[in-house]
Amino acid sequence: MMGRQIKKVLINNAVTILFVIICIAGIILANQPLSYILGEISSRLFRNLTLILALIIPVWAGMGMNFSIVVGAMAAEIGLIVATNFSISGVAYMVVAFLVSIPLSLFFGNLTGRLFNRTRGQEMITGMILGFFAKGIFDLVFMFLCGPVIPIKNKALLLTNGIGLITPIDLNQETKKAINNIWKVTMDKALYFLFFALIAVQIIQIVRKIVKDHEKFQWKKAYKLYASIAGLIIYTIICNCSETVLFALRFTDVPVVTGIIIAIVCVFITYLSKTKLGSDINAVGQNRSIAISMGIGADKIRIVAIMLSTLLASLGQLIFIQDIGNFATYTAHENVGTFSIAALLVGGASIKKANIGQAILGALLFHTMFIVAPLAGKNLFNNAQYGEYFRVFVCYAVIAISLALHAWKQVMAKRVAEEAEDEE
Amino acid sequence: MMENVKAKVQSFGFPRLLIMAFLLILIIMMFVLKIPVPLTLSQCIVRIGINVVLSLAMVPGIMAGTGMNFALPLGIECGLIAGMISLESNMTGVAGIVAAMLISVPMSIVVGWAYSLLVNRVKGSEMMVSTYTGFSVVAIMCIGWLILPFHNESIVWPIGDGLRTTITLEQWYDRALNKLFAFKVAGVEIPVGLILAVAVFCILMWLFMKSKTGMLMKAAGANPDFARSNGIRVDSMRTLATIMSTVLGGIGIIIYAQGFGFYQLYNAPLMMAFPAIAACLIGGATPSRISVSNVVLGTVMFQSLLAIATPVANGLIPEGNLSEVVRTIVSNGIILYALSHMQGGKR
Repeated sequence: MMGRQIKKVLINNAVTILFVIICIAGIILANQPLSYILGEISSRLFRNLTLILALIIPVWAGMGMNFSIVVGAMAAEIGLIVATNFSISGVAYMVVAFLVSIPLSLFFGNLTGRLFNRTRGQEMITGMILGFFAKGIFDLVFMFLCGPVIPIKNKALLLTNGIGLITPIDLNQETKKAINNIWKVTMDKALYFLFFALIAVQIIQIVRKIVKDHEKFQWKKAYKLYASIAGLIIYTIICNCSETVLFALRFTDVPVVTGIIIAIVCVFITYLSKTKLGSDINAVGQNRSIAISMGIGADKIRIVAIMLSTLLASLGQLIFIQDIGNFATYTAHENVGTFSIAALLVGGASIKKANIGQAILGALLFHTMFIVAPLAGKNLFNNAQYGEYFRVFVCYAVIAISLALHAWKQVMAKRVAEEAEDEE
Repeated sequence: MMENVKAKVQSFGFPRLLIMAFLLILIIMMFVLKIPVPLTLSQCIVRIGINVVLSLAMVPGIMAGTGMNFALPLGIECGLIAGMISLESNMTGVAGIVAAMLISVPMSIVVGWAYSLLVNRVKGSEMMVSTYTGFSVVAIMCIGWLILPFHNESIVWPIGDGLRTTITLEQWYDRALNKLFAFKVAGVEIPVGLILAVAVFCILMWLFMKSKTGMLMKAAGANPDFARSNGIRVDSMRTLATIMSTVLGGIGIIIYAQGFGFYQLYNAPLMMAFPAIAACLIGGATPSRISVSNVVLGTVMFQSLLAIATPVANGLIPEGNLSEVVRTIVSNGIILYALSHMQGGKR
């Protein structure tokens, strides 16, 4: 019985486990100092996590991976272009860009949702093609219409002949990493904060249950609290024992404000799942016809899910670009969908299920692979290209395998159901 | 009267009318901007010719109900490997092209068969799975091009590993099919060899559709449950269709490369399925119904649009790649339109 359960866990998390192995092998082969790898992982985690979180809500609604978050990324870039046009800088730049991108992303999300309602069951392929299509429109507008048709105030944005925007668009020195630079702490402190915050949240929840719901405190069920405390203790021991780890942690800065924004997004998603809207989204995702018979406007709910996802994606792309400090005007949005989706799937999510934990784990694993693959390729074959092609392959393969496994499971379930019917 | 027109437009599809109108405008612009017509027309014919077979690869899949074959890069990679083998052993002229095709066929059959095992297990999600299977294969073949044992100095990098990204065919069979029996009429070059070769594949496909196997395949695609109850082996029909599509992909890329003048390796095949699919859809095919005339008509419309758009766009705005943007919008727009018109999300 136990053996079978272990086997089931292994099969269901095959992609994640394989990735852990790839990452460990990659780290060993890359042969880089711990401080370098830790720093890279941390900055990539903060940079990409919001984009990955943006994928979760449509999964609840049964629409699969939202490949059209590309459109949200474009909304963010339009916001950035507007802010650059008015020569704003610093944090104000990001605020203006965000304010511009909100109505745009909601509008784009609404249109996307309407399109998805016409292509029910094929949302993923539609989303992907929509991303390509939107790229064409984006190119048309900013490559040819900006200048002759759309007036641009900031002439530095235009190409020398006055037609089309330059690429890449650089954020100026004050604006680059504006949000990240508001408040930074070193990672060793940040991790302490994190563990204390986790323990505090657990205790508050337990106290609330005792006071509000008059439940008896159950020592056996508080395993999350124990895990947090154990984490804190282990972390303290490691820091005190290993000079290299402590050095690496102190070497790495953590952007607190970006972290808070990500935390707000996480809280929002968790909160949403507990509201009426959240349960409606889940109901639509589980069984559309039952949801409709319960009086839920399924099509409307699906549009809302995509709108929220697009909005979060545009926020994610803003965080991403302010961290990098520039963006290739016409290609910065190209791989947003593929990379985020691959990361979420690596974290153990599927087309039908996704949560915040999987997003975080996926971001960690996927981006570790991204960092170490070229380095490992260089050390193994004396050619970084091997690693670069390998990581692109892994990215596509993860999506292909996850989709195929899911489809296969569905076909098998249907066949089993039909056979059961025949026997009756 | 109005009703009648409306119904006609609806059955023909609004985007197709839009594309035709756009094509018309481009042709007028071509005369306004005084772009040399014979040259453009010659380019049109070549572009149509080299793209037909790639689009023809969509026919079996749609017939058998596996839908538009987004995994066309699978066949293309087979064709490219065959092409590289033909260059490695210095095969030249039309014979070299034919040899490359012959080498590609067995490879495509094996790959197509292996891929069909996957296709038959993911019924209902073929499009998404096939897209990412195609992408993965292109990515892994990028490593393949680095490590495959090719040694001919003209096709590998002088320094470093692997094959070159672009290999010009001058030494081997640059436009050999196009030049075969070619003649000029009023300045327009007619590539008779190319047209003949393409016609052969079109006629073979048309004959196949009329044959007994073709009929069975159509029945399997139209209503799998009904077909199964009538004793048609639906899965083997789907396997056959996938193999045929892969084989045509392999042959298609060789015809494409010889007419284009070079082989493009690495990431070049990544997006090649999309224009091929778009051409079929522009010609009036749907994700569940297709004919050879759809393919030919669609390729003629789509490729002439692109061929004329290039000089016209350059005449209007010398910088930037307007025709590339037009290609992206038109090809993905028509695919989106087709997807949104599949009834109830079903094929």
